[in-house]
Amino acid sequence: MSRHTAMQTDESRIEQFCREEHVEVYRYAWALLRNKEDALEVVQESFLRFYRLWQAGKIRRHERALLFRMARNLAFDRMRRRGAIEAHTQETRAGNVIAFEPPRTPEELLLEKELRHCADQALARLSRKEQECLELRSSGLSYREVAEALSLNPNTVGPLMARALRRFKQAYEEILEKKGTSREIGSARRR
Amino acid sequence: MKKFWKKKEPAAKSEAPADGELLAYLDGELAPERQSEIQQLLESDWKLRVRLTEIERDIETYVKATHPQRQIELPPFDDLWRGVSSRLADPLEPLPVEMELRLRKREAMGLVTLVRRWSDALLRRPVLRRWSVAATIGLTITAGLAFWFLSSEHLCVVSAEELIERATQSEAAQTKQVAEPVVYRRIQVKRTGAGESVIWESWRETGKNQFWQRVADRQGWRDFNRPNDRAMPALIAEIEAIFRINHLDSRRPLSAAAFAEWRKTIRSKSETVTELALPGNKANDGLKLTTVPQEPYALNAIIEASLVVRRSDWHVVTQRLKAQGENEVREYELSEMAYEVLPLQALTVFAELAPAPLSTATIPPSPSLGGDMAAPSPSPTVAPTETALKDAEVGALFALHQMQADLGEQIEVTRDPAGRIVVRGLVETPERRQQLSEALRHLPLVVVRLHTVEEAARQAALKQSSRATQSPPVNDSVNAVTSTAPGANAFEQRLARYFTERESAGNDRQNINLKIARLSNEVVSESSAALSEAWALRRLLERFAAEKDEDRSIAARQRIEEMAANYIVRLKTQSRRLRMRLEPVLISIAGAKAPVVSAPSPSEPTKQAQALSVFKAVEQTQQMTHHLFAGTGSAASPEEAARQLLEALARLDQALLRF
Repeated sequence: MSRHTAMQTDESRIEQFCREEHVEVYRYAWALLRNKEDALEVVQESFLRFYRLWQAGKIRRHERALLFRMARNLAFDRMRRRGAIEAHTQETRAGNVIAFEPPRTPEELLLEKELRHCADQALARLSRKEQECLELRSSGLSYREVAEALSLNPNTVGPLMARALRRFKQAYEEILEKKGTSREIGSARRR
Repeated sequence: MKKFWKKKEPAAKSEAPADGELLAYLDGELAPERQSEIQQLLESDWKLRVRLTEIERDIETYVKATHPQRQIELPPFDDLWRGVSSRLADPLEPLPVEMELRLRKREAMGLVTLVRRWSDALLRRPVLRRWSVAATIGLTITAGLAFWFLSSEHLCVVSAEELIERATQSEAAQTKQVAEPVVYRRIQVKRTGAGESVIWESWRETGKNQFWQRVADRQGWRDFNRPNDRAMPALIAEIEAIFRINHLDSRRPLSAAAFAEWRKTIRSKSETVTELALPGNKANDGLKLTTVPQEPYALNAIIEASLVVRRSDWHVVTQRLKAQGENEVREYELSEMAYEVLPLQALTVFAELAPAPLSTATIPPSPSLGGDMAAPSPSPTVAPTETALKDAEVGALFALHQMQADLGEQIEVTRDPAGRIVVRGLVETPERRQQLSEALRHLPLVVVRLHTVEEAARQAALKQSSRATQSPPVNDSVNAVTSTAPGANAFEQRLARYFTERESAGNDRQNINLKIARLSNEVVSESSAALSEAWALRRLLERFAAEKDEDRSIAARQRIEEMAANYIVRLKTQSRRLRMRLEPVLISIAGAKAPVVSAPSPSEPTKQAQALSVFKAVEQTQQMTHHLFAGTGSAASPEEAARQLLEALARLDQALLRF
């Protein structure tokens, strides 16, 4: 096989990998950065770096975990540059959300917005590690991959995630109760 | 038979999973064995099922709540891929430094990860987990014990029997080297915790068991020679009582033989031998034998005794005793400060004071001795100060130094119980005694007790008429050398060849022999003189080592420094002369130049340690010179012997330079 063909093969393989993973990596980058352009650049840079490492023969296992880890590092680099790393955990998440569902009534949209706001607030009460753990697991990473991506002991991922889920639930319900929206949620969902 | 331990039921082996493990179970992240175990547990345990349901609800809540947030606008894949593919063709940029470092760390952690995975796999199985925990604890304890055993001083290297035997043999060998040996010891006696400390000097003549001792404490030096002597300090009295009650010979402190005799009287005891570092020396150069007799303990009984020996020559350097007091345990430490085995003939200690009981009987309980001393003495009512005594002592030493009576003559300067400085010893002739008496006469607080050799011999003959052995006068090494026939050994043959090669062919054998004899006389004489100087220097600095400069007057300090400087100047001259005479001959015989050997630096940069270093170098040179030139010969070949002597001379030079 000529060098050119080999490179072409490499490119096609990375393209395939990119096609399979780009959605979750983008979601993860977006969850960290909350900015469309930044998330896109992080994803592109992550794939590029991944490709170079892969070509240099330095990737042997846990490809997905490594990809997410690179995306995470790049995202944090960006956040550090813009001085937002601390604000990240505190800020209320909002905006840049496109609903794929059919158009709703203004009342439904308001309620949706309020629920998202509550979820953001509940997430903000978790530690950064817990948030990332849930985010990566939601992206489909295994416990071992999550551990690799976050530099954790694999044995701690399960307990960390269980605690994060419980704390999220408590916080979320507490916020909803405080806002008195539980009933509305129920009625909205029934509708 | 009923088992000591009870095997647990299999059901109890499966521990109830925590929430984290239940979540992993739901996610299918557990090992198949554990997965099925939890499955079984869930089937039988309602509470566990409830917990599992709660976790499922937590997941549901999270997914539902965050679902809208995950509904984000995704960029088209082509846009994303275009940005990547356009840069794939770029030349490879070096990886960012932090990523390179991370990758290296990852590679280095590969083994750690492997071990971790293996341990994880082990820990997932409860049976293996218990075993692995037990094994880990066992290994940790073993490693800890091994570390403690190796790093601590508790390392048995010889048995107690062997240590005692070797130390006793060493002691006996030292006394056998000298005719009519007198064991001299200078010991520091301390009582731990009380802050008391005295210096105890003793001379023990092993043949007739004559014994003389004195002690120095805050009140100065005092002689005492019988129990309950008022001059005996309380600390020494305590030690004597302990020795007496435990059947230890108080005349032989720090003696391995005496310790062995006491040890034999103990029926049941426990003993340990440990390694330790002697003060100021390299690590683990000492061995300590600790003997603990079994209870019960009477008053003053030894409850623990230890003997510290120097490993290099099995010489006892320290003895520690723990004795039962009335309400407490008293601890004593006897540390050797000086030790020598001297010929009886060289000492006047027993000649002056013998018979010992008589001499002690003449010492009245009061500090004043009365008029038994012929020399001038201060008024008994006015006690001299310590500084005045020290000045007088230094003055006497200085006067002897000026008369060169400190270079091998058998004269010593001591203090008597009345607080006077006594200069006693043997001189060759009445004229010499007259010279020295004149030099010392004007010094205050100094008493002169000098005798000629003839007088001392006459006294000894009177005391022991049955033993009419007359010791010959001190041999003159030069005379001995001249009587040695050259050519008696290989070295002398090489010397003869050296002189033959250098001289004209007409020189006869007699002339060559004369030259060899002259060279031998010169170098032996020079090296003997150097040894006398080195001895005097060592004695001087050791004598004042324990005292502080502040305790002496400025004049006394200056005199000590002047004496030390004189010794060194003379030693340097002698060393230079030896080199000048010997180096051409030795280089010719050895066939090479003298190697540059760095002198062993003293363990402590004190003058005393430096003096000891000089003394050792001089002694070695003198011994080698005597062996080669005084006819005793050397076991080594002439070339090797010449090389060794060149090295010894180089060492001597360096030791002198360091001073």
